[in-house]
Amino acid sequence: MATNSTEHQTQTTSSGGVVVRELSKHYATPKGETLTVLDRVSLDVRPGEFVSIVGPSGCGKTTLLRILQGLEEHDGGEVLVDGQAPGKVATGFVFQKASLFPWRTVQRNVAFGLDLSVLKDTPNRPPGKDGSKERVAQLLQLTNLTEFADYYPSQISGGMQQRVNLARALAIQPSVLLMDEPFSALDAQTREKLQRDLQKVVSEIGTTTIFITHDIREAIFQADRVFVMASNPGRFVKVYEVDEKHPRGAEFQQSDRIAELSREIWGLLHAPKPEVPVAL
Amino acid sequence: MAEQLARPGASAGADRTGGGPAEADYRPAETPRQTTPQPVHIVESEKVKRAKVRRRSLIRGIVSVVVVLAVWEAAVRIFQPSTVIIVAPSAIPSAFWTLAKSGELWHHFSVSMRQFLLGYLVAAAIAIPLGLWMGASRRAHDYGDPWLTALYATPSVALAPLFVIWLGFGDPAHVAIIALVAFFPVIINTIDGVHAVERDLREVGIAFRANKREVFGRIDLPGAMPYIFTGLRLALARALVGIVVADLFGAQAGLGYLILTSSQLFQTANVFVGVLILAALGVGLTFALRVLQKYLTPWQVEVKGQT
Repeated sequence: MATNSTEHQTQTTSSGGVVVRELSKHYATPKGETLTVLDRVSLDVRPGEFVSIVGPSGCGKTTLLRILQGLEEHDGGEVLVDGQAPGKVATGFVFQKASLFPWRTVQRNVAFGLDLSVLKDTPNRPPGKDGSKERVAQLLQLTNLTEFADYYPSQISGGMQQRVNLARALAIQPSVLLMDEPFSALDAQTREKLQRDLQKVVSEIGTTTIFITHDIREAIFQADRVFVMASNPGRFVKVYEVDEKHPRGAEFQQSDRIAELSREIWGLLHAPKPEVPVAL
Repeated sequence: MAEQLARPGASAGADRTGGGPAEADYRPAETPRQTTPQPVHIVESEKVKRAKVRRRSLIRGIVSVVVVLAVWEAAVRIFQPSTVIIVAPSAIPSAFWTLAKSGELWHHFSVSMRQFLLGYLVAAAIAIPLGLWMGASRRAHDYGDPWLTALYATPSVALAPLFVIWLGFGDPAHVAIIALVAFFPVIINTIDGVHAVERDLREVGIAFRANKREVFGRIDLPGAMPYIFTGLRLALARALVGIVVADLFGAQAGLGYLILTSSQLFQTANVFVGVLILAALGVGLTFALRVLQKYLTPWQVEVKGQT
């Protein structure tokens, strides 16, 4: 079956980029049938680019991210994160749940990745204890958490927890940052603020970022390119370029351009399904 | 900043601690929360309210104890039963004093404490590492679980005569019995604790490419700590029972022995002395353990566990 996936064949495979070609993933259902979660998906993210992926729930966006992260195997196709197999490169990730370690204070949570032996002898680890401390302090500053460095996660708000999570992901200076609906559990106001905070942080650090959400406006606000997915099986149906300088602020967040584009994407996501089911 | 409000969950957490280090973090004068006056006000008044509730609970507790003792005392004075059956609470301090002066009480107490500490520490020293291993390794769990389930279901007291046969009437048998009864709550809660560490947290470790040792040491172990403490606390109570049970199967000294021989000699006041000392030990050691727990796991104080 031919998919509508739009292929962006940029020539870059240098540091920080993500290359996904013809990636497929199947699951066995409890009944023993094969469920195709991702059907020959292709995606090419340039180093330093911010890509958003929107799509209905169950379209396989999270599965895609877990594969990129090395938490799940794929069944076909090719995946390269920063030129290497997934799981081999330092990737940062921020999920919907902050999943902070309750026994570590805010700053110790941020330092978690730096404590691990895997970073030894890599440029990701700052030299010496002072280097680590300095990097943690910088990230706390960047995420406005300096005052809360010695708090435990249970003592801070959900929005702050998510900022700690972001700082923790960035501490290892990942070549790629993967975010899976990081703000969806937060209230609307906090979410908008965190969206702007993320703009500030990412544009300052310049990490390649893949951002998954089902909030269309959020996807547009953050991204250089918005990939729209469809489900059953999961595939890309369209890509939108968002031509706006980073860091983007509240003005862009409330602009008509976002509203227009978001209406268009909404229309695409809510288009009636073909009446005849597409044969597999 | 918009999100400086303490979450409801956070203040509930402070409530559970019943004061102490965790609550100290809410002292508004020292925290940046001071910049948002309203939440500080709320936190403060809640704190005052909680202190009031605590004080009221304490008063009620004292009233309860005093009333029961008074009724007991009055009943004994009015009905004047034989001192073989029951003595007035006021008779217990004098019995205590007589026993203490002769040095007899100290002897019993020190023998029991030695056995208790040895048994309890042996139990903890075996149960915690073994529990961590069984919690973290599927294979270890599969091999160990049938034994654990079977032995846990068996009343440990039933095994006490065996220890006496194997180890004789001396200290080793007593220590073994105490260790046995204290062992199960610790190991079961330790295993549960490792299992209860959220999968999400372990996945954070994996995604950060922590190796197995690091996932265990940096995630499983600290995550299981609150449960381990629950196990240790439950084991404390059982070990105190173990002291008495062990003495039933032959002893020359010990608090259980004191209770047993006093009852056989119809010295009921002395029985009460032994019982009250055990009760005080239970309260004191539980408190000590709580202090240790607050020190070692400052982020959380307790979780419910199984016996």
